[in-house]
Amino acid sequence: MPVEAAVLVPALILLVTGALLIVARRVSRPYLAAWIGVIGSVMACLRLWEYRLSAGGWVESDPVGQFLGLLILVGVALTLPIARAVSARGGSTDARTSTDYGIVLVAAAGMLLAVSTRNLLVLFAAIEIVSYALSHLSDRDKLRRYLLASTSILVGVALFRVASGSFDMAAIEAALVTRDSGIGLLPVLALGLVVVGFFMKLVPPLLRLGAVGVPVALAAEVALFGALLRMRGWLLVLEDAFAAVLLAVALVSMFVGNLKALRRNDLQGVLSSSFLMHIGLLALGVAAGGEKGRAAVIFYLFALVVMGLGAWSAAIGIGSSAKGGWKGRGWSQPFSAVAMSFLILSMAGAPLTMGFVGRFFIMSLSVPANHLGLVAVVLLNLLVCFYYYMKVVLGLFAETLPMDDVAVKLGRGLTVAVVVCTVVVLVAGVWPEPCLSLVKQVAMGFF
Amino acid sequence: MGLLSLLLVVPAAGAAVVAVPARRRTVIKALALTFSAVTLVVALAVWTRVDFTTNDYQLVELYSWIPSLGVSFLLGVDAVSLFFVLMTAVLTPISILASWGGVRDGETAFFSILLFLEAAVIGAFLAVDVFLFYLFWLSVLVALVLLVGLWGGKRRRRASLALGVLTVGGSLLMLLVILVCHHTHFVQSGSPSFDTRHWEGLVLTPMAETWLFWGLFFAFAIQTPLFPFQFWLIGAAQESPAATRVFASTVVLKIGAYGLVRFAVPWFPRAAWTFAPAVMSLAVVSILVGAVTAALSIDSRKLAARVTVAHMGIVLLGIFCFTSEAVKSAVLIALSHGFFVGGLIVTAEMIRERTGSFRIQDYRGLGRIMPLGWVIAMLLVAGAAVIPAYYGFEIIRAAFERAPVQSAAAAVGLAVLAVAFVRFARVSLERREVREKKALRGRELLVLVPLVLLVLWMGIAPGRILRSLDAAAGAFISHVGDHVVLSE
Repeated sequence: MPVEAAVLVPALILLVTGALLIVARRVSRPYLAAWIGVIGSVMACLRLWEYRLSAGGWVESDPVGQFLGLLILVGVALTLPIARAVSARGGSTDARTSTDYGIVLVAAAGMLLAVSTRNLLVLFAAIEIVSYALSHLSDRDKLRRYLLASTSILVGVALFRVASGSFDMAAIEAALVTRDSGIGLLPVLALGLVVVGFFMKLVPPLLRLGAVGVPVALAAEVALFGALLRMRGWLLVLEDAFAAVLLAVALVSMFVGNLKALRRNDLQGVLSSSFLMHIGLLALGVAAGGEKGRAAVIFYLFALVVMGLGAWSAAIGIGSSAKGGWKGRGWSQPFSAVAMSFLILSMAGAPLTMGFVGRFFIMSLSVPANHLGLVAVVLLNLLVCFYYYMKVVLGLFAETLPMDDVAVKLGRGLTVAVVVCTVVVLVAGVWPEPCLSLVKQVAMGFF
Repeated sequence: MGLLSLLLVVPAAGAAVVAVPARRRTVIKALALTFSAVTLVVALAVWTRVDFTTNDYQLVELYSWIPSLGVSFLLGVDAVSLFFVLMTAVLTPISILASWGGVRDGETAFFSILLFLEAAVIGAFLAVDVFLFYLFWLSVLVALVLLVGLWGGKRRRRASLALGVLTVGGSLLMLLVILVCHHTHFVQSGSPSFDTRHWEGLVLTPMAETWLFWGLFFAFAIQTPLFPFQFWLIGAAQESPAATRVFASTVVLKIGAYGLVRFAVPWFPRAAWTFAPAVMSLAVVSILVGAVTAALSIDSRKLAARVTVAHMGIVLLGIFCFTSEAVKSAVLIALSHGFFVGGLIVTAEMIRERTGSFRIQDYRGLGRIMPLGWVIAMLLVAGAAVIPAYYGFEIIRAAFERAPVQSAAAAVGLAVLAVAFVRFARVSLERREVREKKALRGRELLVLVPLVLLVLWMGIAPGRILRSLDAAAGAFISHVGDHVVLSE
């Protein structure tokens, strides 16, 4: 099978299953159907190993794309029990539930395309699919920002075409390198528009999506950074511009995320806002560049998906009753609270957790790049991050439980998700070498 | 598995075992006590195997851990780290006994975290790999924040967040220094390493060494705690249960002083020598502020914390005198501080159980309420006053040559500190009508008697400890001296 077709198969499986769930609406077991789609896609992704390092037209099949594709599917797999639990508690209709599952799968199809393509136009289309899906899952869609971001990306892509005569990353690089007059301002402008546009598309939704939307958005960040890694890997002639844009984005993301998290009092609000802080760290890793930068980003993406979705699942489990809040629930729901506390502490960079190792890996790359001042600013942001995460942990256990508190059952799906995530974070924190070796091997296999 | 690994595994295993929910509270506490006692036995076994005539790391254990990042699980012990480990191993079972009836909710989690804290503190003192040290240090801070925040008093959340932000902020400062040093070592040697011995020969520009030294200094100064960072300790002391207070005030903050001796000075000896007078100034300010506020304290918990700030200022002054006698005196004060302040904290808790108050004014007639307890308290107060004063004057004498003004100010501070102790003793001697005497219980005697004996030993016959520190202190001074001579 040609590599282009092979790369499309996982996305196609998700697309077909998702379309079925959206169109048919009254599928008798939408949850099972969604899982079949995900498992089918995982198996197709694993088959891509045969095409280890292959390119064909607008796609590339390499270990980075394959690993990130699997990570996206892990994120989607963790999203499904969350969506199920939320719909059960919210009393959603079967039609609405089926549609939501379908939207999640269609979004995942777009994500898989985004990490495999090196054609900017196809990348734009893939990101559009993802962001459109996210906007459906949001109750407070901001059309203005959506249009602005789309325009920014499209104009950037068009400028690349003008500057190089192509939408293909490899061709763009070749054209810019051989230019007699130097790179010029146009490609730099194009890069800035595209990168900022991508961030505007996929990062702010974390702040306004609900219980189901945020996990999907987190998986979308894997797609975003997969695409950025590929662009960074190909457009070497724009290395400095790339680093500058990403550093700026990193700082903005961290500041905004921390400010928002400090102002939120609800559990999910603090978590979703704090994800922006981690996205800023990831941007730092992409800015560092090279094989090590790639490995650091892949490791931290893995950590973020597992920590973030595990904590999110536990937060769903803790929830809040109509009368009480989440504070003090640590003693009445110890399993969810302890797991969430552990995962949150990992996100805060507590030792013997995956978050600590990932954070150290990324920070260690910023010093050789002579970004010492930036590192100091980042550390300050990490301190703020630690503060509001500790507030959450103390709020769970140090506050008094409301008298009328009713314990909420986590459910089997969420329980499994939380347990798996906690174990992965702990094992990869205490014994990170196998995981680090794996991501280094993956990072080496890149076009 | 070597002895040093066992020192970590035993309390860590204890933490895991105690974490399993058990019905009976006494079972949890008995298990915690057993594991901490076994740790003490292992620590004593290590003591018998250490050769004090050499300063090299001994009983070294090296395990490959994260080769991808150049991190090894590398442990080693020398005279300085051994005594701090012993201090920790002694104070842990004492803390557990002191909290026997004090913690009523969530004992499983409390004693599990306490044992984890012990393992982390011991790990920090034994780590030769800098990444490993950092990991253990951060573990200590997180565990302490949880202990204060979840089992403290009414203002526990505020106290624990202040503690967390300040100390973790300091640790992030250390992280920055670690990253720079690691990169510098890699560039200069071609191989990545976190072995602290390899970083003692880094070639740095004076400007770079200055920045790195001060960064690391303040990272540890926050932990020590030096003025103006002492607020985390005051808050934690006021809001925590007895065991947490003992740990925070006696064990955890020693990591700050240890870090200066183990890392800051050996890595940046020229900067340490150049800025020694400035550091001494900061230390003296701590002594004065700690002494004056201690003398004015009305709460015994705050008194103990403020005395700690003053004493740690003396320790810092001694370290930066860069003479063998001063450094040994500083280490002795740091060790004895753990026992007499630990004892005072435990005594204050026992007094509170009998009088219902931590206010010093309510200690009137203490001798009639609990006569034996009063005698023990006075012995501990005497130790707290005499040992730092006697060895503190040794430090002041050593500091005079290089920093006469700071030296004189430190002497004033020591005098003011004596006032705090005299006031405490005077109040306890005041007459008061007592309805019934409340003698010390067996468990309380079990806690206090060893502490008193240790304080008396360190005050009257510390010769063995001081001789054991000869090689370590000598090597410390030589290292600084060699680099200062080279740079001149």
